[in-house]
Amino acid sequence: MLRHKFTVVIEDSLEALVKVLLTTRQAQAKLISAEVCESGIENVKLLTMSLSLKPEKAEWLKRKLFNLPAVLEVDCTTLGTGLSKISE
Amino acid sequence: MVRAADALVKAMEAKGVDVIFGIPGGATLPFYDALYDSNIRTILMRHEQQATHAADGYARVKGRPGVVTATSGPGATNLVTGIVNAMMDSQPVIAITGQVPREALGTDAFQETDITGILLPVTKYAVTVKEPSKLAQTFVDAYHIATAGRPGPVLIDVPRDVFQADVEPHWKDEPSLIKYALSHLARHPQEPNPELISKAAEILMNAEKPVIIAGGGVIISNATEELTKLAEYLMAPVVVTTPGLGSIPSDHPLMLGVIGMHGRVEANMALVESDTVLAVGVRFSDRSVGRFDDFQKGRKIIHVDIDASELGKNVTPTVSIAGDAKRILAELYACIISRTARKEARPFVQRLKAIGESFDEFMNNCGEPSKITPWRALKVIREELPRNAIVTTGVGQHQMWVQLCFKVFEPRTLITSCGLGTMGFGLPAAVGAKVAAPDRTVACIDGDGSFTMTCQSLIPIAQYDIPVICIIFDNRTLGMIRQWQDLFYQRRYKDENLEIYLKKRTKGSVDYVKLAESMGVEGAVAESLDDLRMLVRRAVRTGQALVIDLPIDREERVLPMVPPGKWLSQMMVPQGFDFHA
Repeated sequence: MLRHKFTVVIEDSLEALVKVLLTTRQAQAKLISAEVCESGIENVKLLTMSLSLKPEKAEWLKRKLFNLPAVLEVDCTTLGTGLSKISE
Repeated sequence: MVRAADALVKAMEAKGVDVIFGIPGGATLPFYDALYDSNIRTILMRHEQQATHAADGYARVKGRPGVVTATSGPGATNLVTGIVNAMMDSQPVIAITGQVPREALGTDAFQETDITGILLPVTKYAVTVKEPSKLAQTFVDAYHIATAGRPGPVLIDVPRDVFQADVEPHWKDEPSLIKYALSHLARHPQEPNPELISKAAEILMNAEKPVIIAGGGVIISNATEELTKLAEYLMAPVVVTTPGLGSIPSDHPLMLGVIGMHGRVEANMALVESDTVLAVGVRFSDRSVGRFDDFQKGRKIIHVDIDASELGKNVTPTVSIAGDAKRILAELYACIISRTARKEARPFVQRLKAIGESFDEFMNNCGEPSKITPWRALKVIREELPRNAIVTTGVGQHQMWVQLCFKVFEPRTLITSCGLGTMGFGLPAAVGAKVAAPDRTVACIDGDGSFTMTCQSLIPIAQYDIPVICIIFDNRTLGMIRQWQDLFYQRRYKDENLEIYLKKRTKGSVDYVKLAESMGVEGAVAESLDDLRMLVRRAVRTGQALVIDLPIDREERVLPMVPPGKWLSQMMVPQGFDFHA
């Protein structure tokens, strides 16, 4: 499991946000944190999620999220295991 | 100003909706009232799950969304199985549910349930409409979402007072969601990458033993012609997944049949022997390819699918191309014919075809010549049904026998529950299929276990004169359960027996003739293969609904079978048949 940061641009609705979170759960990802903020565009929100996820699932999740009707953009960056600081 | 429900009905009419399957309830009465003045036909089913299956069957035959409606609470929750079934098999079903009035939401009101929350993970789109003026536009959006890209079910949940509110009847025929509105303006559907097409073509041209796997995506994208042209040019055999049955005629010389756990010998062996696989509109389910690691070994894989999230999900392809099957197959064909001559017939295909033919011969000659075996019965049914007849099935042994030996000649003529494996799907799906294609013969080949789950679909068959032929493979057992308990649980049979105690404590079967007749449909027992032939022939000729009870031996097994966790080469075949010989 590696930490990933997913940034998802969503046409605003409660259902759309929940659908993103459910899809994330389907990928067997562990949600560490999530933050919703305004995107600057009317009716569009920016969801930033930090997830613990099997590396091979990351691309699938990115594509799966992009399939969702209310999702306009998805970006993903790998953050690593988060263990390096502990070992230091 | 008009009622929002009236605007919704107008939007549905504008989209070409001609039928709705469902059951009314308190929360949907304004909707039904609006439908009173519409030409949209309503079919009163007797259970909402069956209404969803009917809408699903309609969608599969027609190639456009089927619409189902249910009231709030239990009506809505009864939809769940049907909706998940449509999701798993990528079928565009639009569900419209009633909901308690907006001011009662969250009060645990009578028949209130959060159906949007329940269906959110298993639909492409699920929304509760809170603003009456948006109801008609929401339908247009949902219709678009259900059909765009990989199709799937959608839910529109409507509080009763939203249906009843007065609104200006304004909506656009185009989707309002930003994502689709933008792509609508840009008018650029997913373009296949030319470099990937070229690379895939190169691999296919150089393959010694190429095999094409056609999945449900080929049928959804109406790509039969393109698939056939490419296969014939490459002289590549075609194998299919269960949803892909019908993507190429069963009697085409290059068609080897269905693959998988209950796949045909020659089809599974084709995959085992292949050096290259072109998989189109396939999601590589565990039931189709067995072990993913063995499948990956020693062969190049080209995967084409409209859903980019399927590419690389279960197997890692050599080349993966996202896009519509019809277009990509056409581009592959164009690329290949510009670079190489038509390929010669491949000896391994002839060899595998011969194995398949000897297997059919073996199965047709098993046991006493007069015995009703599934293979013989299906041969008789096929001979009596028109070539373009539509056949639906339930789920279980009978379904697997159909996929193994029932010939399917045209796309959208075998309607079966694949991904979810929903017992009881066959009869209500046949209702939808017959409504979609009233001029064609529709037959449901069912098991007794499946049939009893949704047999009240006979009532709308009688009520609306929807003449479906239903043939029950009656082995008085949950056959597939019995088969697994036999093979993998040391014959410790448990709860597979469907026999009932009749008067005088004699064991027997449900009387399907009386059951059918109690619901207004004629029933008959086929005591022999000749009886079966005569009954099917009469039903086709007269165009009347008929239930045929076909008693079969409960010890019949579905073979070949690949045991769970094994590779396709480890098929179990009937005793006495050796496909290596």
